[in-house]
Amino acid sequence: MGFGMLAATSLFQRDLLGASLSSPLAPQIPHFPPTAKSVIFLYMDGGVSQVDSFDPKPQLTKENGQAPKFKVDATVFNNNGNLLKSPWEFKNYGESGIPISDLFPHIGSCADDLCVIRSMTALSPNHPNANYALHCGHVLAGRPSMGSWFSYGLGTMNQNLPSYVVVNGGLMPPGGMQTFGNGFLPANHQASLVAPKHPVMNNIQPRESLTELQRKKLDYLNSIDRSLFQNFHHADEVETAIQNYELAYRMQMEVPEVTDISKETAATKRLYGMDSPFEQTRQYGSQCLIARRLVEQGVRFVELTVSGISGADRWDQHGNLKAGHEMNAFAVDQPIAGLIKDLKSRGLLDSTLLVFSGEFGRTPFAQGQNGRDHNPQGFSMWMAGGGIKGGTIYGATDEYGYRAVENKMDVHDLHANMMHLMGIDHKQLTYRFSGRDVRLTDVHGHIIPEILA
Amino acid sequence: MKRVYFLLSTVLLVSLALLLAWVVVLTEGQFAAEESVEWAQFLGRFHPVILHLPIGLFVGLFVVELAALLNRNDGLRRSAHILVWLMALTSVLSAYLGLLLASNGDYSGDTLWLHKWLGILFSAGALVLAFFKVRIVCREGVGNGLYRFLLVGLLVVMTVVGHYGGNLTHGSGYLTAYAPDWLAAKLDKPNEAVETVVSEDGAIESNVYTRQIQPLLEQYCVQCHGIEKQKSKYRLDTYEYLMTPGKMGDTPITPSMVSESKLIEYLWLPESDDMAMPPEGKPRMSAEQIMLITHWVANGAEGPPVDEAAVAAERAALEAERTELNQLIKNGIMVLPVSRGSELFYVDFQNVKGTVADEDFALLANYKDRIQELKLAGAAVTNAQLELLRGASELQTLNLSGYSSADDAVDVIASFSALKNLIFYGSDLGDAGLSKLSTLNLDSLYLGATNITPKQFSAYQNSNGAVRVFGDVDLNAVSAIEVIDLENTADFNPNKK
Ligand code: HEC
Repeated sequence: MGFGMLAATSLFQRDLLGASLSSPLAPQIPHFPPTAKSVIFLYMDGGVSQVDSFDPKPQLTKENGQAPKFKVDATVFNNNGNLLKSPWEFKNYGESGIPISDLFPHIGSCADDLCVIRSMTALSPNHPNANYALHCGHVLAGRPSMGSWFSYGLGTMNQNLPSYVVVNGGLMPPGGMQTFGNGFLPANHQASLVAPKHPVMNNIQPRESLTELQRKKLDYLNSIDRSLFQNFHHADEVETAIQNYELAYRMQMEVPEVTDISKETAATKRLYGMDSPFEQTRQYGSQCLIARRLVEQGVRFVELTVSGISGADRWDQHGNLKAGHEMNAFAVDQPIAGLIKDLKSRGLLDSTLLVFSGEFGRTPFAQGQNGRDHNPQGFSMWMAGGGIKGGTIYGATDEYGYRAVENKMDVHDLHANMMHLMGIDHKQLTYRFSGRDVRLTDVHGHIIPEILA
Repeated sequence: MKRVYFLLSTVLLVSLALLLAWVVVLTEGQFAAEESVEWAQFLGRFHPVILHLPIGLFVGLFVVELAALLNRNDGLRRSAHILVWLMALTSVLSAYLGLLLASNGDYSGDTLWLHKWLGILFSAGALVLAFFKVRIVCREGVGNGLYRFLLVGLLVVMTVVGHYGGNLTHGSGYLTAYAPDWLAAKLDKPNEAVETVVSEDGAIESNVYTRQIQPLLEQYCVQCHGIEKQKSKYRLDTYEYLMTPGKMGDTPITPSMVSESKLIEYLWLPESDDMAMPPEGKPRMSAEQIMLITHWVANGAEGPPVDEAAVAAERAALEAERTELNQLIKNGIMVLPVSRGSELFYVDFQNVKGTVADEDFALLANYKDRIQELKLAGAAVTNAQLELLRGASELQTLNLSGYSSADDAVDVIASFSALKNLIFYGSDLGDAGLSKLSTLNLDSLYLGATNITPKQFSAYQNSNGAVRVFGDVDLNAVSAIEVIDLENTADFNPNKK
């Protein structure tokens, strides 16, 4: 059954305090009825250019090559040139007519499922800090990542899998593993990284040829740890370690099966672009497919990182915007659209929240001749699925796509709304650390009814 | 000279009495109906300022008259004459203001009624007293006995009025709240200790409201939000009142939602804030006490139990339910409340691989009318088992992905009257089953990877326009986009990579 110790001590209550199992990853009762049960975070490492993707700016095209008429803030490289129009055309997609650039024709075909937010802002213009902010709600390292918060707040439905999984394309985000860290939350809530190829994780194959042998070893280890646990007066770290061994043991059975996409039909693989001539598309396709399989199995939070295949680079086109963005878009466009369509066809899109975002956007003026620098002042992202009002555009940047001017949103708002959709009151989910009841959203975060279905 | 004085005094006293009667009528009728006559509210607040004048003057008058009686001193008698006038004038003024204050609606109940009418009686008595005094002065001692009798009577009335007035302002029990134990025992007011009842596993006992919350509200709030006063038209003296909105219109407590509960916010506000409760200057709750109330709200703000036996029965039922659900969870069937405080369940067979024991399904069937969402995907549930759920009345979402012999399940499924979302993806559903689904009032139906042919699919779609029907993903459309994509990104040729 694989439930092991959990069952022995499980304690379930449907009363004032809600139900709880005595496993650190046991499902928790949401504050209010959720509209989504899982999140898939499509992290667009490096920062997608908003004016080249989801935020068309005719004014930019008109004034292409001219010096910006607006005040330009210092950028990271501060090698700012003239206004640079988008090299791509935009088309209006779906009944909603959301304009999306030619970089994303596949995602365009899902426009009516998207809520495009054009007024997102970042808390920092630097990769690591903006990244920590996007993931952890704070620009410095060491805070729990949102996946960890969801794990802490909601636990997970499948007790044989971790609650928070990163399907790693190979490129570690700037900021490193702390981006996915559990911070001060118990270590059970940190991300588990899996690769989209065999073996998905280290040690996922048991070394012992006999299951009983491994079980006996584990039980022995467990008894030693238990006595340590007593001696240390029930130290959380020891408890966490014990639970981790058990989870790892259960994962050895379940993870290889869940991540084995070979049994998927040819049609499904084709949908995700796994027959693409481009290796990166094939890899991102398998990442998306694994994400779907994980969500199907009840995993709470899945994040996909971009490709680390040689020749690939993040969306960080300080130069060669055209080639770089085309390569990145080509790698993710079809797999993401495939994921949306597949989830929809399986009846899972209504309970899965998809979030597509970089850590910031890019400048509407050139860096050097043909690149774009980091722009935290206004950029686009989108959400789709469980509880999101599809076919909508929220917020706006100025006429050049430089600064968010209407319904400005920041990472705290994003987190608050993600939690809201998952049935969590972001103001109530706290963890006492350093003498304070700390939240993912700190003292910020607004629920935005316009983006909710 | 004396005749003129007597006549003028009489006219004045009578008109004051008539004015008093008029104000009584006015405040009883028109003001009470119209909520905010602002100047009336403004003036009314001077009642507590003015009312101490007639009390002091009356006590003075009483002592002076007593001394005059004992000393037979003419000077004393003359000062009593002045005092009686001042006392009468201030007491009617105080009554006018009191009536205005009462009309603003913050106060009600028996205490107010007694205070009001005894107050009117006192003021009227004061006018009569003044009249007697004038008569005595003008007619050399006629009616002295009646005057003294009235004087003593009014002293009694004043004491009683004052007592009820005090209760209105400070709440009854204000005086005795800090009485020494021996005295409190005599007064039959035992000092109630507020005990904190949190059981060992951190669970709050069922009776939190009565045992912990109500005593706190009693101590800090009810004086202004109770039977005597209803500041902001809001009461806190019973659970029902607590949950009934006041003037602001929203219920100040939303169970389980601390951030939506204004009352909690008011408790935490700094004393200087206008909305801090209790308001500035009143004894404040300690952080622990506020935490307790916050905690109680966060956990559902449950009210007092109806009666002990019912509570015990409910606890036992909950205990039994917990044991049963535990059994299911242990066997991999997650049965979880949809949200905090909800009676409805989300049931997920996620952790079941393979077949489900009949006992487990039978156990689950005990709760069939509380299942809102059921995800069978992954488990090999049989139709005989599904049959046990027949008639499940709350079931809205049913996920039967990969279900085998789906056609035969449709009969049971059609009995789920609340069903909105039905997922057959990857099951062996065929036209035989599909055709029987039309009786359901579905929002969405998922038919991908089933045995339904495209023709049957569109036939269903045509005759069930209101249902969103999802089939297989159209791969031809995907191929078409692929072609466009390659054109769009001609400079970047993935075929070369
Ligand atoms: C000294 C009198 C006083 C005390 C004691 C007092 N309040 Fe109030 N309360 C007021 C007044 C006056 C208002 C109206 C304030 C306003 O509208 O500015 C009010 C308003 C309120 C309201 C808003 C009611 C509505 O209309 O929705 C709540 C809730 C409340 N009080 C709770 C409390 C609680 C809880 C306590 C005890 C901790 C308390 N009050 C103690 C005087 C008091």
